[in-house]
Amino acid sequence: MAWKILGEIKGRKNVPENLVKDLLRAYNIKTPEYRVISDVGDLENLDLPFPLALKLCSDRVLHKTDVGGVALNIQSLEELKEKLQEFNRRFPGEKFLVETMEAPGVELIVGLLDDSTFGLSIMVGLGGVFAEAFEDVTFRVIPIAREDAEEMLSELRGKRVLEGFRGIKVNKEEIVDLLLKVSKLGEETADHIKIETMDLNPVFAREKDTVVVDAKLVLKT
Amino acid sequence: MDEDKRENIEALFHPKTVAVIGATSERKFGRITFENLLKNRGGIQVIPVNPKAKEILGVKCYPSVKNIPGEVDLAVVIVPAKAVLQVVRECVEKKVKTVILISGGFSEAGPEGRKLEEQVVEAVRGSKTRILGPNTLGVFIPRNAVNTTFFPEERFVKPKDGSIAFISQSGASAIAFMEAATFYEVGFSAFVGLGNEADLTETDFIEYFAEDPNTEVICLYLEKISDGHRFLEVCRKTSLKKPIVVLKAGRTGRGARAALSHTGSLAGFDRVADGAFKQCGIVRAMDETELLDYAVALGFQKPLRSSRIAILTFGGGAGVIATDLIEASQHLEMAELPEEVKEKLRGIVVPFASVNNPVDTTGNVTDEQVDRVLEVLYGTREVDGILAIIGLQIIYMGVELADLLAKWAKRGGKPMVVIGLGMGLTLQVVRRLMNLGVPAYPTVRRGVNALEALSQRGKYLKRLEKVGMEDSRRD
Repeated sequence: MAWKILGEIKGRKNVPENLVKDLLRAYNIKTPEYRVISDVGDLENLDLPFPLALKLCSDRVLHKTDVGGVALNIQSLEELKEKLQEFNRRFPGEKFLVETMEAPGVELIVGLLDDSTFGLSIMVGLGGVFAEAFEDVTFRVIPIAREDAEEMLSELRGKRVLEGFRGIKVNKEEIVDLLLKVSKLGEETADHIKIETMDLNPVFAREKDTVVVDAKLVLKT
Repeated sequence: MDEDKRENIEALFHPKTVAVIGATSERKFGRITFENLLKNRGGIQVIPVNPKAKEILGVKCYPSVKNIPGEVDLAVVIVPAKAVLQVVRECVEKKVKTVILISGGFSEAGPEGRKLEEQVVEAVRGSKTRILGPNTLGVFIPRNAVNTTFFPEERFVKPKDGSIAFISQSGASAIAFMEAATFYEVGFSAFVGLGNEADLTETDFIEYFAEDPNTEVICLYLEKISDGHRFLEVCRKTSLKKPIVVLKAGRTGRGARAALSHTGSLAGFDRVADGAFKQCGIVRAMDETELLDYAVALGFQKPLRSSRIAILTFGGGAGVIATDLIEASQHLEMAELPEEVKEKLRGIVVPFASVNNPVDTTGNVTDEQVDRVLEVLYGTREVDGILAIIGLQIIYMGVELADLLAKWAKRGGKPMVVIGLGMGLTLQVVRRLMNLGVPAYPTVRRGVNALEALSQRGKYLKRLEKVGMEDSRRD
């Protein structure tokens, strides 16, 4: 499965989010359920449960939130149609991702980056949208071992948030597994695509699992 | 490592015959380097090369390296950049093992210099001759006084022989750091200035010092790493045997890809290097003081297997400061002394002393009492390492305190770090401790940081025992 997706991804610079998530799912990384749509005609057979999110899915726009290309918590088909028509007007010719809303958790950022000295490296940090404000992140060169992943989490200044702080329940093992899967993805795909950088942000770390809510992938061209 | 390359590097440190190309009797760099080399204590023959002179400082001079009878292992080149290419070609013809290009005016000077540097590297390609530099001070070995620097005798206070190998991308700064450290009797097995690294790189030298019997710890000042993957691989293997301390500067020069992704913008301040260093057991220093402090601690003492520290102090304040720093550290914790241990300590010290950790004997203590307190602390299972804080402003103790502490640091089976607060007698004790192989520092923070370095190294080795041995065997 990963092979087929890599074929579609190859040769692009900014990879559309649906393909990034297809790739993540090929590595058993959990994401919301999503469909790619263009206009209201595509909503007739929509089989996703509300509430839903509508997101601009373009290989031209990298930071879709910055251009107002994300609508969250859409409660009904009516509302979805309305939003979609508005998006069609504002982003003519573009495709959109409609996806299920996930129950929140502790927000993490997980990333890959091709470092000019050490090569492809993995990052994990706290904060989701606040990640750059907190700067509470740590890196390792891939591939990483389980001990590396555990050590990474133990280095975060805000690590208590992952250790039952104020009754917040997070499954740390699931985060470690996610890091190992992302490391594996980076390592195995290296022969086919040259990853410049990947952002999984936010990732919700919850009591039973972790889910990648938003994903961005930029390849070297 | 590659046997040829090992021989090339060996020729830098233990040459039999050295040609100084560009030696002169005028008061210039070419004379100073020649003079410095003449003072070697390794029985090394030093031959000047200069087409304009018959002899220099009483030594027969040759017009070209090719005219020197017999083998030449090392050529030290101090000629203008434009003359270097021809000189290097002659060295290749003469089968000189290694050439140190002191001369500047290469890639550091702009595109034309870069081109020249490429031509010089091209000239040794395919031969067995290798190059250190250009734009370097070369090497300095305290043991046999091989000194290719152009720092005159009276200006360069030379460090003594020791077990730290210092590899640096900035020669002048490293020499200054070393000279400053001589105040505390820090010794070195070797200094290497890498210069522009047109040929031999930092990784080649790490590989060499990993096997060098005179080197216990390898420390590096780096601004760039030429081959990240090989660097990590070599450091990973070396770390199994010897500690590596790196001061990597230029941490803020990034952010070009910031706009592309959050991950990219968060990679600033060299965070990837931070992670990479941890993966291969490198202890990272943030300034030159830390660099040599950590090297001393790791060179002198065994790593901390666990991180519970007992403090022995002769006066309150410094013990409290150290306690704060230890409690705030990610790598250290204060040892909890069991009741029976406290009971034993009470039997040794004056009644108003404190037997909690920190153990504060007060200034009212004799050498003999200190000895017995250390015996108790070294015998306590709940203690992994000892931090002794001394100040000899009081009347009872003498310089012999150093021997007493060193006895336990050597035989006790637990690492010890000493903090010596003061200048007079205290400084004498600190220096004596350093000569006896006990890491001793003049401030509380530096002492605690040194313990952190020992703890980091211990954690890395423990982890390797758990998982990494298989990986490293596979390499």
